[in-house]
Amino acid sequence: MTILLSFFGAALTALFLENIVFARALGTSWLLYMLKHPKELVRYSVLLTIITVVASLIVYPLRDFITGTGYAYVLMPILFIVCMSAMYALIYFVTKRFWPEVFENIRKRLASATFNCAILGSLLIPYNEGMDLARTLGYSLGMSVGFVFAVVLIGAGMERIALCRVPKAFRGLPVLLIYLGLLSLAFYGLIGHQLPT
Amino acid sequence: MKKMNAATVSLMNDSFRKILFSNPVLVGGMVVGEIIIGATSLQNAIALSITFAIVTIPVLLLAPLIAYFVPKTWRILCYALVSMSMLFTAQAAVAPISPTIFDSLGIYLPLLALNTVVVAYSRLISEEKGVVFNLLDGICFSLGFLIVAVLIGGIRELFGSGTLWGYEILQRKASALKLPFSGFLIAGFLAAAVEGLRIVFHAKPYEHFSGGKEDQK
Amino acid sequence: MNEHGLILQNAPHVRTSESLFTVMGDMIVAMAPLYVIAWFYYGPRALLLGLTGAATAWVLDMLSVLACGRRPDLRDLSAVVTGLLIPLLMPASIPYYVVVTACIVAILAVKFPFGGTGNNLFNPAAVGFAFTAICWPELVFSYPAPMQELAVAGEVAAKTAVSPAHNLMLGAIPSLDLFDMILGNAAGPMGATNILVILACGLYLLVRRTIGWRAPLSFLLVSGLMAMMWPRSPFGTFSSVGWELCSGMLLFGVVFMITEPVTSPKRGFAKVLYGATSGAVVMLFRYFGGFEDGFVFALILMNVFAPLFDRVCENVLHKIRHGTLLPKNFAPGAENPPKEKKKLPKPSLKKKTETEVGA
Repeated sequence: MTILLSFFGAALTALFLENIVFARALGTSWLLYMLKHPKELVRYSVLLTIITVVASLIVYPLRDFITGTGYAYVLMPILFIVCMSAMYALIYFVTKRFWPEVFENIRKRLASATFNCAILGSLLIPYNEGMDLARTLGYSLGMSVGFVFAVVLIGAGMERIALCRVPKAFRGLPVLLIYLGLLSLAFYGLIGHQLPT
Repeated sequence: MKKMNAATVSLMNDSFRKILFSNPVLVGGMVVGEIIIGATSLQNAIALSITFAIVTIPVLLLAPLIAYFVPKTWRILCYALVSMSMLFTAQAAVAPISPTIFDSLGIYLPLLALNTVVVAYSRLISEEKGVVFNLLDGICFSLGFLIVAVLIGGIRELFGSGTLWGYEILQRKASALKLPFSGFLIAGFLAAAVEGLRIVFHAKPYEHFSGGKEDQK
Repeated sequence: MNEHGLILQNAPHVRTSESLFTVMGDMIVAMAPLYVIAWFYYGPRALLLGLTGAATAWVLDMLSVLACGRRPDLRDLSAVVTGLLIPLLMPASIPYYVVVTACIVAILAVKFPFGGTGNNLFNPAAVGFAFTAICWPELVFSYPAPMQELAVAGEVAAKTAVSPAHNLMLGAIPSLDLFDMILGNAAGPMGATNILVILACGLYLLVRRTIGWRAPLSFLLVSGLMAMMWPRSPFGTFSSVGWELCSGMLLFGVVFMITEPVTSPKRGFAKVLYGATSGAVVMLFRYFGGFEDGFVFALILMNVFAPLFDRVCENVLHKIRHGTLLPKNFAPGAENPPKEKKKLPKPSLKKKTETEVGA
């Protein structure tokens, strides 16, 4: 019971309080891409969720091997990137062999979905904060749902901004960044303190 | 001086634009996250820029070579391998800046190993350019990143902590400037300043480097 | 005007003899008694803070309109309203630079990038105040005891008092009588303590139709209900309602900030839902948030979701008005025979002959 509670607690924290875009500013390039191609959002986010959760599962027992050495700061991301490469190869071969239609769908996006700041962040942050397995899985799930949540919110905001008389120098990326900043301020009110990097 | 033909000149112009008008952060929206949370002081900004240069330039240099030997699907693994092996060098280069630099940067320094330039730009553009132009691209990307990081880090440190490179300068400080939301706001205003400069100097608008090529793997 | 001759414009939509000038003028007239009362309690410093805020905001607004390349409209008082709102949310002993910073953030970060008056997506006063509350929480939330004359310039050495909101946050009973709180003899934000005057100003604005009644009413109902069901202080449910509603900037925000025409929903029922949800969110921020009064953060969050209420209401009300929530072919059989598609005549590009025209 407590495991389930900590799972959902971590998922909700990652979704609202420590949202990956508003509080941790990761995944902004892919946010911009998703805003231009909204039809790919579902596909991309399902892929992201699967990769994050499975990668967290794979990485969890391996973390203890590296923590002892003195180079953990750099070795840990290297381990995570190796695991992400393994995930990439795994998904590539498994879908190609068993579900060819799914493979055709995701072939173009697989590389950018796997080698992503957001996924590396979702592997590094639970390690830094020393979460156990249930919380790590919940955190990864919440993080990818939080990405979708952020895309939806910002998309709605961009529709409102399209009705405004934005000055010429601000059109496009600048007003998007400023709107992101104000959304981030709104969500900061939920936390109230600075997150540890 | 050798006479350069039009194609070379236009490629060089493309590269030099990356410093200001095609700035990866402010116009391309590429490496935004690490700057917004990481660049809260001048030391952090310099550390981030050094890491970015050390991690990105070798990948861009090796891109044509990797493209020659490795089939398309597996090139991304090679790029990730190269950038992550450069992380050791980056750590060694950044450590002398300050003893607490890794604590203050947290996860954002290693995250630069998978930045968009390494993952997407290398696959789409750098594989077709020559080695010299890739080097020029890498240097200009790094310069553009450095300018933005130093500006944002400097403003946030000066008005947010009252210090500059650790030395006390101002008495009154607005500590909210070190939080992520003000990073977004300052980056947005700088992006608007760059766009305003572009309009004033009648330069070409920015074309995103995918431009249809993103659909090919 | 677009090609159909319709004017597409952001709120405030003015259809009657009022104009932007009168709407904003009404707000300024409604805030004037609050400044007079603040002068009565805290001395002329209150008036000077208001003047500083208004002047900074107005100058910055005109400069930003110039920077957009448009001619500044000197009768546009919306920036003045923002500049007058901000000091009323702060204690009277606040240094001038805090008010100036809040106005700078409010105008340059919320109004300017989105295009000026009528285009802001967030309440500028709320964002400005939130920024300074994060930067200098010890300055923005330490209130002087009322009925002392504060120094106009320089260092202010004032006797501070604990505000009722702070007491409630700690779970204690406010040390004041409810009557004192209603009359404003309490420590709190400069314009938000005098409940009677705020209610009178609210009534004035209601009568002049500057603000609606739906959002404030639903807000007060929901927050009162929540205060009654989950009181923060040990005694009594009804006194808890009184304390919650009269402490902090809640009532002030209900009258002046929630009803801002640009950022709140446009449909009537949507306004009711918006007020109700804002009330719930504000009370949740009070229960679980870090600041003693997280009203501005709740308001900024609600501004993000405001168009959602409009959309939901459009869909729901459309379904209710058109009679049914059931889908069209729910009952198989004769009720809903499939419609034949009428073939419309194709518009021909041939020139019409004499016989076809006007025959």
